[in-house]
Amino acid sequence: MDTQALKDSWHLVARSGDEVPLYFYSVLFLMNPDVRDMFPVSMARQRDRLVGALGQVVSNVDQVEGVVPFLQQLGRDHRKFAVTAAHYPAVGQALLATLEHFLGERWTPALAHDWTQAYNLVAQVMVEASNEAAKVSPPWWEAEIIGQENRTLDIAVIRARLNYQYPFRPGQSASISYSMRPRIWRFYSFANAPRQDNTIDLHVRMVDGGALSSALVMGARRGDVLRVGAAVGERLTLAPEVQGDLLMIAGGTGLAPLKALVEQIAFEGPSRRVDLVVGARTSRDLYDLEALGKMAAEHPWLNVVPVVSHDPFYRGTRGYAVDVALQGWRGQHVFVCGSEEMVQATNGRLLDAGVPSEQIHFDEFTSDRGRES
Amino acid sequence: MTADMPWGSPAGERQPLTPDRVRKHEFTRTPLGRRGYSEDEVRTFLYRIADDMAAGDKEKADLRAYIDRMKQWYKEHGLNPEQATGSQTPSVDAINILSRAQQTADAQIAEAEDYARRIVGQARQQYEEMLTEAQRQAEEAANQAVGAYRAGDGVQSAEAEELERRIAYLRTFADVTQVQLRAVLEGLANEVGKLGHVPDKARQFAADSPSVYG
Ligand SMILES: Cc1cc2nc3c(=O)[nH]c(=O)nc-3n(C[C@H](O)[C@H](O)[C@H](O)COP(=O)(O)OP(=O)(O)OC[C@H]3O[C@@H](n4cnc5c(N)ncnc54)[C@H](O)[C@@H]3O)c2cc1C
Ligand code: HEM
Repeated sequence: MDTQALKDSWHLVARSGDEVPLYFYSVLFLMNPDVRDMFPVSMARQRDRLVGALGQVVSNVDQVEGVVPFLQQLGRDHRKFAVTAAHYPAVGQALLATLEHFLGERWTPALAHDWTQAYNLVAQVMVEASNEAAKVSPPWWEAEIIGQENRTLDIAVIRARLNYQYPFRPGQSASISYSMRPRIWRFYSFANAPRQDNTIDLHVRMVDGGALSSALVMGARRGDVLRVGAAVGERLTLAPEVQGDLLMIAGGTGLAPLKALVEQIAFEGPSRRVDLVVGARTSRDLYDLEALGKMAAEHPWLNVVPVVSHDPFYRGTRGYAVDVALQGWRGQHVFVCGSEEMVQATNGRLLDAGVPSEQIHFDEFTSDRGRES
Repeated sequence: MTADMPWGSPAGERQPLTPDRVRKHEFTRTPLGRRGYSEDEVRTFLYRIADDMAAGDKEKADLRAYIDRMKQWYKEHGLNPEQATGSQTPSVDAINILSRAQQTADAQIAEAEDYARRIVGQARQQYEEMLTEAQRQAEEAANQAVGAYRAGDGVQSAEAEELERRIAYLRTFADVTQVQLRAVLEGLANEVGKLGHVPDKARQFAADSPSVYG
């Protein structure tokens, strides 16, 4: 297989920019109309997700060993789109047709042969992982909403009950879709440690113009059904080597995974002191203080410090959460979660203050898709 | 037992029905020579079945011949018929038409999203301003209440003073916000609901979609 030719040809094709995925999807849907329904109506933003990855991955097939875990995760994860092994040839065909179109004269039988082989290899890894996963878990779980509480204008706490036992660890998230916005998947963190009754809590903040979060905050009702993909993410889980006291810094709904960690420590130990600094813009955005207050009252080892940055009437601690947290840093591991901006600013401040980077654990609620591990 | 069953074959394994077998089939007579069906009617019916079967057989043979001719054609043109079926790339025209349609849809959805972003942004701002104003008025009312309490006669305690303050604060806050806030919220929920509205049956998509474990 001439991998250099694969890379060179993909470079050439990629130069045509957005025309490439547009062409790819048109071919795919014309040849396989039934596949159209797997994709969201608007393709503008995600257009390049599949095609970009496809060209990238397949043309780098000589380094495939390095990305096998990624491909396996991708294959397992594709089950949530209702993708089956039977769909892979269709996507391969559309890919070849796209390459042929954009390469014109340069599309030779030898090149076609190499692309076919490379694609088949990648597809095989994904399909096998998907088949393995199918033996142990459903492609997605369904969760019926049993409670929806609007805590502020834009934050809702949603409780849902999963239909099957769902393995996850505190600190993890899952991609979730909602029946009112079909085929749109976004990541949300679990705000609780696993429970006997299979219920989960989500803290959802509405993002202006956001497709899924606005529907969940403004429209979700009891009885509605969520689809929940497999739990992902290791950044905020409590690894055994993380010993001793913890300092947690939450921004907005970034509280969710940190609250789950506190619950885990309460259930399983080992006992350690936890300082949880909860940052918000105004006092009204401290949407979960009641529950946190209760937890702090029950667990003497837990110290909850609400900090408000933009509220002249607030009587408690004012400022940025990270500054307040730093006053209490005594060498603990630090867990940070919140919006991308909040996490970046906080990390910068922590590093400046001398917190070793290997002691900082963080995850960002980027508005694009989350990383898988 | 098999002998009593009209279509049963003595050997126990069914022989395929042919139009000829249908036509020639003999039924066992009922013992007393009555309560049977009209022999003519049965015979006519059997002939009709036989004709239909014959027509079906001919159609099958024609199709098979057609497929063989197609296969031969593919062979002569150096193509593999198994792969060729359905794998013809659609025409460039078709691809362009679909691409333009998708772009139009994308543009319209982007517009709707932009609208949603503005609506929610405005509502958020309105809400914040309203609450800040309510807070300000409530603070003022609370301070006045405390002033009045201190000026009043009778025994004074810090707890009672704090209670006065709280009551005045909450009452004013509630008065200022109650109606307005609900209006903002309802308006917002309406707008969000309208956007990307999907038919009600989508509420239970669980029901009509393939669920492997469902
Ligand atoms: C690991 C992880 C965990 C997360 N956990 C949580 C959680 O627990 N709670 C939580 O509330 N969130 C969480 N998030 C964030 C969440 O996944 C979503 O990103 C968030 O809810 C917004 O999704 P949306 O569909 O509403 O917005 P989107 O539709 O994705 O829009 C996001 C932003 O992009 C803008 N936008 C959309 N389309 C366009 C366009 N065409 N041009 C320009 N701008 C555009 C929108 O206006 C909006 O500002 C998490 C994210 C990750 C990665
Ligand atoms: C080698 C094969 C493939 C690769 C490398 C690949 C890669 C990707 C990647 C990286 C994403 C974005 C991930 C995400 O949003 O979670 C994605 C999304 C998706 N893929 Fe694939 N994919 C492959 C095959 C397929 C096949 C065969 C189908 C079935 C038709 C498919 C359907 C989808 C769908 C529906 C999405 C979601 C698109 C969206 O919401 O924007 N993929 N793919």
